Amino acid sequence: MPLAEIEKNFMRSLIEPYRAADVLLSQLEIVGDLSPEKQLAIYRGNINGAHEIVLAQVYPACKNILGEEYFNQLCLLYRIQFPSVNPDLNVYGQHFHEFIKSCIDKHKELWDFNYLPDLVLLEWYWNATYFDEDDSSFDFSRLTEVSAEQQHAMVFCLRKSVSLISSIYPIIDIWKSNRAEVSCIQSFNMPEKKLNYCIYRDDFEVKLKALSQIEFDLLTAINEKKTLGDLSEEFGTNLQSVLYQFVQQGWICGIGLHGVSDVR
Amino acid sequence: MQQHMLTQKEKSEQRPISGTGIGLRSPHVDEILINQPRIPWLELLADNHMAAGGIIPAQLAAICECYPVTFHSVGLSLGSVDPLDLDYLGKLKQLMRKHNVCWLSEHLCFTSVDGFHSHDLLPVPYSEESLLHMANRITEVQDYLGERILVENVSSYMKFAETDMDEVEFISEVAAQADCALLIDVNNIYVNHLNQDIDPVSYIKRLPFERIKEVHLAGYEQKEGFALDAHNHPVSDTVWDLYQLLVQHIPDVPSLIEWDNDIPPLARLIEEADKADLIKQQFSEGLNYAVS
Repeated sequence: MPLAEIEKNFMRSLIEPYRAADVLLSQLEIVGDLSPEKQLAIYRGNINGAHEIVLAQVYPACKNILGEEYFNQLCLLYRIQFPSVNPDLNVYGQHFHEFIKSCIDKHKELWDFNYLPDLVLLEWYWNATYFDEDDSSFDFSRLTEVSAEQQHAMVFCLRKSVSLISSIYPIIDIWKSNRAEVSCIQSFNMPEKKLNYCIYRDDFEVKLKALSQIEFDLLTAINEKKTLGDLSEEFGTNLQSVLYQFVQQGWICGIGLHGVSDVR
Repeated sequence: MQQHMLTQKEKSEQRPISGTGIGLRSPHVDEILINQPRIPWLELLADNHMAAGGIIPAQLAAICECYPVTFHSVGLSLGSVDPLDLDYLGKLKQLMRKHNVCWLSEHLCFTSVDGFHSHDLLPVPYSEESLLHMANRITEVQDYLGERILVENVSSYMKFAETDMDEVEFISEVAAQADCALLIDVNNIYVNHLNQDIDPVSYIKRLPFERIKEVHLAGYEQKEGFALDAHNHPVSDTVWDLYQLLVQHIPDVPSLIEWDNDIPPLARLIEEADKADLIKQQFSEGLNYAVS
């Protein structure tokens, strides 16, 4: 059998562990005490273990809440549904949020865990922010390059290591109580309104800050590349002071003109 | 190619890789940077140091300031029939140049195909087709990097019917055809002996010693019915014996202690490295070494 066929069959039997692997097995010989089935099982076991470890590191609170056994079953299903397509393991698990959402729809035992998708998204942002690209600081001199006529078309650039999240659930309390392997508190008070947060990196440290509704909406609008003209219309007199605060915080790192790709 | 070899040699002369180093893993990074213990060189898993930003690149720069460093990667997928991942290779090259990394080693296996990544070292059949393919890919990598790489024998739990030669023949031929160097992992030889009944002594005696530029030592775990190359135990007594057999032939080649799971305090790794140095010293008066 050509090398390409062997490799593709091998990989397919790893990423689809419930499918019969007859073609691959027919290419293997018994060696020592290892039957072809056992040989394949060793690789399947290694890969499951490695992926479970990665997801457990990224989603410790989710794992604590669901318990190791259930979490590991989800890891396997996730790996089948979203096989890794990147050599960088740091980006593995980025679809876990949508995966958990779909699991809640499908599995009755998860119906009490409606907050999990938001919690999982928070854990993902917390992990990804640690590795996100560094951006240069806001260069105020770039402002002088923008003419008065161009100002309404000006757009701002959020630092790559800034993520926004909002939830109607007390996800921060749940997260803090379940991040470490300690007994988790099972009851939390529901907040009166949706809570908004910014996850960002300050030097090397990942931080989380609660945002007012205006702050959250403005950061969302900036992220959507709305122009200064649009922002002025939407946020009126609040705009200038909040914008300045974001620049001070290091969350806005550049400017550009609407439709021009170089936004810095 | 010759001209690039000189560059690598110059690098090694500036910051020689000699004696027994340690595979640096994240639990020990702070201790290494703060205390800077006497370790002759460090090998970093390149894949763990490729983050775009944050503390990882800063740590890499600091480590490379303090120690001679080599890169060990797991993502090149040298045996894969997919096109070479030039994005990944480009990042490796950039980091190697930026931080004066002495050399890069990879595994004689594949980790990805059809765009999917297993993140595990998957064996290839030891066939004429694999041999030619692997050698061509290594040549492609070396041409891109402008320097010779080291390729490592892997532990394998699989035996393909499609086999034209044994493992030593395969790796020796790959190295000859690609004109690359070899990294010999003694624990992998022993694990393959336990699982596949290869003769480890004959294996070692048949190696092309002139191509070996690095030796790895690690521990394995006995599982139900097979030995797993888990890197979570001390080096076993038999592996030390096999190491002694190997270093008789190459006493000045640098060695490395790898410990990836259930990682003990750094001092324990240094003990293992000292033991390797003691064994080598029986056969060599000096431990100076540079890639040539």
